[in-house]
Amino acid sequence: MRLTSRRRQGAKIELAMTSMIDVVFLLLIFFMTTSFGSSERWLDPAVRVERSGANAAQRDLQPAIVEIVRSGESHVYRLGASNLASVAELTARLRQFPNKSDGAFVRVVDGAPFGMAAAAVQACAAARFMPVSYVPWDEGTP
Amino acid sequence: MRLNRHKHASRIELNMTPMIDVVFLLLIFFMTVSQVSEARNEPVELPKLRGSRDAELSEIVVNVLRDQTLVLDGTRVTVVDFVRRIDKRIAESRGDASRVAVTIRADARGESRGVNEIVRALTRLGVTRVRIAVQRTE
Repeated sequence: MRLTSRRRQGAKIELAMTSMIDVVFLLLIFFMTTSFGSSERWLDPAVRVERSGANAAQRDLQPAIVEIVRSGESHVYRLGASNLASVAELTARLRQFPNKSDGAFVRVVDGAPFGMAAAAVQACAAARFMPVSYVPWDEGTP
Repeated sequence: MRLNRHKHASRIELNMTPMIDVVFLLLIFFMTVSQVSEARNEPVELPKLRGSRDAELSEIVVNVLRDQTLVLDGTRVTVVDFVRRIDKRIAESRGDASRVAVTIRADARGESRGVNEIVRALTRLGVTRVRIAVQRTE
């Protein structure tokens, strides 16, 4: 018994660093890989193609229809009779609409910058319209 | 008999390090595979917006470049080709268009013509699950 206890007391404790470094580097690579891949997000607009304004006319309140129209050299957001230059203005105006559950429509003509179209969808979503419809719009449509 | 006793006294050691090593390698493998599947994403400047939810892996990703070229799975396609692919996908889903989801990655600097053509085509096919990819704003 004495011999055994002496051996145990005298035993050296060795710490294998190589394996630990191995695992630490694997963890590092893992977190680096995961942190790079998640910068994209989604907007989820409803999509529809409107052929006439008949559906809109049947509602009690006028629905929110955002258009992106050319104004001189650039494009602006049109909401009702107002032309709005910035997304902030558009969002502020959209927030004043009472009938959020009727949804909003973003009419996008082919020539409109897509960045503005996406921003208009985002503005409607930010103003709590549900659903927000992306409507490709023919410029010749009345 | 004494030898046998020695055998009973031997300690059983479980070396966890190689197992952890292998587990993490597997984890990294699957992470890399998911990254490779994002290779379908063309380098386009997405609209810088907050979005409504985080992007996930999507089955059909169509890229609309600034010059309105459509790129599907790394190949330049026309709207007709795109429609054919979606039609095939709907057929694979037993004709249920509601099971097909399409992610549109369009360049914010380009016109909306390409996106509009895609949306018109998808609406004709009955596909309503359409997502617009945006770049997260910090």
